[in-house]
Amino acid sequence: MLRKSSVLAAGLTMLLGACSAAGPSGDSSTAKDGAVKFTGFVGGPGILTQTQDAIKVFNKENPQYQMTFVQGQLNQAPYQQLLTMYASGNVPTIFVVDAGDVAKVADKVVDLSGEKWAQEEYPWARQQGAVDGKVLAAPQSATGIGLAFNRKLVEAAIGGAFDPTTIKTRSDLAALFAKIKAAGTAPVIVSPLPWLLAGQFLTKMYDAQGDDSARARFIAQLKAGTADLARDKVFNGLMDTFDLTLKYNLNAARPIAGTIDTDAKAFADGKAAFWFIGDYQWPQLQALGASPDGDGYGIMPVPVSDDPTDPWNQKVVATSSFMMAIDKTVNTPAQQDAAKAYLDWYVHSASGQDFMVNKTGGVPAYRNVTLQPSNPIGRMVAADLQKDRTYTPISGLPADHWNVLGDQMIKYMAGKIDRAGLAKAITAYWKTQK
Amino acid sequence: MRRSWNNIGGFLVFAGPSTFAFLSITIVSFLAGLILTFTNWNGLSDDLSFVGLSNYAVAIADGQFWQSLGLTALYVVVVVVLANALAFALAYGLSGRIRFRGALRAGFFTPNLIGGVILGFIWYFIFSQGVVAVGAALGIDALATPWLASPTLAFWALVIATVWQVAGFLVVIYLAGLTTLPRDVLEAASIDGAGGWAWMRSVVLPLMRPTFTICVFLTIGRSFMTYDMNLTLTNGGPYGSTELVAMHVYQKAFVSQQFGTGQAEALVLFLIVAVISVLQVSVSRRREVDL
Amino acid sequence: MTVQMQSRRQAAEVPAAGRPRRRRSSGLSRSGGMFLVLVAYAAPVLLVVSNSLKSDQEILDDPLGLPASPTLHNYTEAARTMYYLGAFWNTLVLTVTSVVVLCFFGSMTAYFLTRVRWRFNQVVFYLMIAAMLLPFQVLMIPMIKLLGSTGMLQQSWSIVYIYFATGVPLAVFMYAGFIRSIPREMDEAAMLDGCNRLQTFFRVVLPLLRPVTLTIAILDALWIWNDFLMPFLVLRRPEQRTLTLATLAFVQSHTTDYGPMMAALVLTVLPILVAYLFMQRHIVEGLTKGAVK
Repeated sequence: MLRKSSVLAAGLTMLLGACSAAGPSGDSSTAKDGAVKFTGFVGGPGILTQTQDAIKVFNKENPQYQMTFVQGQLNQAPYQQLLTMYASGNVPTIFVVDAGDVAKVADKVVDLSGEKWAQEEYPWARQQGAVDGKVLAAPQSATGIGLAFNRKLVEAAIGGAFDPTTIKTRSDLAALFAKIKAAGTAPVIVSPLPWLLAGQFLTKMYDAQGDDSARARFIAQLKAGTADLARDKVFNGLMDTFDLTLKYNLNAARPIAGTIDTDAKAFADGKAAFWFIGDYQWPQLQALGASPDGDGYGIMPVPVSDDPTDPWNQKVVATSSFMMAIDKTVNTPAQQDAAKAYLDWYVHSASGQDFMVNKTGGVPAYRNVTLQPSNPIGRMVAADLQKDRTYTPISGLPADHWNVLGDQMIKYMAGKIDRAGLAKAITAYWKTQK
Repeated sequence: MRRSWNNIGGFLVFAGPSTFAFLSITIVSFLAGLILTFTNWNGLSDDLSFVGLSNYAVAIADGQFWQSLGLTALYVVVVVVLANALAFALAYGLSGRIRFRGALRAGFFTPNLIGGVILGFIWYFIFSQGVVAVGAALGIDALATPWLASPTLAFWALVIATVWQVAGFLVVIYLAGLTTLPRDVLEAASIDGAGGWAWMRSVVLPLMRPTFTICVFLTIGRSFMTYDMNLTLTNGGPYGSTELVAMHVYQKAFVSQQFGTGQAEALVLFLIVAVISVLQVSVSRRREVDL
Repeated sequence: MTVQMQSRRQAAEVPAAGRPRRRRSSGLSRSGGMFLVLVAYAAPVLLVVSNSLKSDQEILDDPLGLPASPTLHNYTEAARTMYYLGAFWNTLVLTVTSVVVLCFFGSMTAYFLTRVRWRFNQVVFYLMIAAMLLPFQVLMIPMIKLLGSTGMLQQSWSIVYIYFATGVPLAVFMYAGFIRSIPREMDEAAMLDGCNRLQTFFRVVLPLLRPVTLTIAILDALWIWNDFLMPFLVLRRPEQRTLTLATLAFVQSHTTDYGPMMAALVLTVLPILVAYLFMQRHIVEGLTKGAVK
């Protein structure tokens, strides 16, 4: 019985999988003038035209290649789109994927360990793109996540220069918020967005457990149902900070009414001094009138305790925005080489770096790139990276973690559940994970 | 015997191409999808093995699935009633003798031109910015509350947007139905007052029953399948309270990456909708004026 | 019951007396009323047009007001990024071809399935109706796999075939409803005159189907004109892009370029509105012909 079903399974696998091996015919991968044609599903939110322009530059500087831009449906995660792309057999030569999804495409992409840029990556970035020690993906750029701030508003409230490193504990932050509020400005914005709250804020309860092995131990306990969140120091510390930000939230009267657009506008308009967000949001802030000149904006860590020596209070999250990987299942070796040339161009050429840093405001994830990001939040992240004042978030969370627990975080914001209820929901969620 | 050969020849000529295309794409995909519900395929990998009925067991035990199905049932009832009433009223107002008929019809047709995903963004914009601005300007607190932040109001926002969209689609069909009525019937009904209303109830509506049957059938199917609007307007929020069943199925398959379970839930959904639709059509056919 | 009977009689008497005098005035006041309804109904569309003339910042500041200083900047921006003319042409060719195929084969199929009493016909008919109730999510991935494995996704023509296969049930369903209302005697008379079944269909039945054909054509054209998924999967190169694909380029996960998006939307919708206005005369004509029968 078992055997029969496995034969069937093998047959079905062939029906589903083998067919895609047919791939594009050899003719279509070279243009008339002999240039290698390949496709790129690259770029990201807010940088569509910049990406298209950059590809034009790449093609002009590298006449032996001809790269075509593939437009995604950018309101979906790249991995979801990859599912349909792989199903259809129309797979771009080079594509973006979230750091957490690199492992899922591991058997379909090219090993890039030998590439020159792989030696220039920051170690954490290299680790995010690696599976079993092999580098499979290249970060598009680094991105910092934390409490973004409007320097002018903070300094007006404290009556002097603001040094974010002086905020070492939650109490420091509370005192600062109180001063800002007294000065007549809303201290902070908390946006009710699942991907932000569970994908980037709540994750600190895993991160701040310690090093990789401590994190893994904690996750294992959650899965086994033996972790006691009600007594967990990190979880409670993080939630205390969350309560603090909710208390001083610009939208405290209507905590879950904000949207990414209204909150971005409020922050750009100077309605609040802090916003929990990442520097990836800068293109929109600038479009809404925030000035990129000077050090008008910055970013600082979310404190999780009242211990001034706690390292988790001193570091912002640094992670890669998207990772770029090269398909080997339907794209020819010549196309794969062309895509490698694109990555090389992106990291090592003047115009590639210009695109990475100047045009899109990205923070370089490569040590050889010395350009300063065109936006103030990014410059601060870049400086923190160089001073090793960042940490890398946990990887390999379940695919729907942000979605399911994000809803619970918003319920908490709306007052529908209390901290015990949230802890219960988190525990219940993890128990269903294998 | 001879007759059936005749039938086969005629079938091939008249219905052959359609049936072939339909079977080769829709039915084959359906069967492949059915097989996938018995596997643990993750949507991407080349490996899969058979897991028996476990996907169905997970689907049936998925409380969220049944909850979203319950919400969808409420949503379908409301949308079917409101959309058909609105569409019939609009079509009726646009038929018979009326000045500027062409311009008016084109006007009512316009909203229909905007497709699913984009339409959701527009309604999102309206409910997150527009309604709030109106509320603030008029000082009406109920409106100044962002609708999408409240489970109840977000549900109604979804209903309004869907009714608006589906009605635009149904008007076209009701108009076609109304114009097949004898001219006298319509003109008599267009007289204002009680006489017109009674005429409408006793003559026009019964004659329109076949059209109602079609439209209700289409509305049930469409509203059970609502996905684009759900995704772009409320995205299931706030906190999952407006996640309709089609979206839940999609999320299960693609966001939670439990492809087999999502597919199994979709099949359960299909069976439920099919049963409801068959009931609806057979009941209303029995009541139709026999032609 | 008696009330109903009474009112029916009463109503039946009214037209004879009241028709000629009432018609004009009620026609005018009714169109006035309908215009008011229209303004409310089309408000979202008007909002799009008004906002397409504003800057992104003004859109978020004052979404409802009229543009303070109307600008066509969004339109030039949209047209530039969309490759408007090319995308327009692609969408037009795709839509027209698919709609013609769907109406042609759909009407023939419906005619045969409803006119010939044969068990197999019933099976096919109900299979098609059942398929209309399938959530597309069930079909999507297997369908894409299937199309990918047969190489159809590499061919741009195959998108027409897919629209045909997935759209034919609705067309058959709607044609069937209409054909049932055409008396069988008409076919039989034509057959007696020596027409075979094909000739009967094309000479006698098809002309009568004009109103429903136009309705189906409109519905299918709308669907295909606005469809996202299939063009997204099949038409990958920028020079093959359709208008919907191009419009969605402005919608992104963390931010939306509202201004250019709304301008793109107006540019996408405009051609089909013009087509509808143009076709309307024929629709009205077709409908009156159908009504005479």
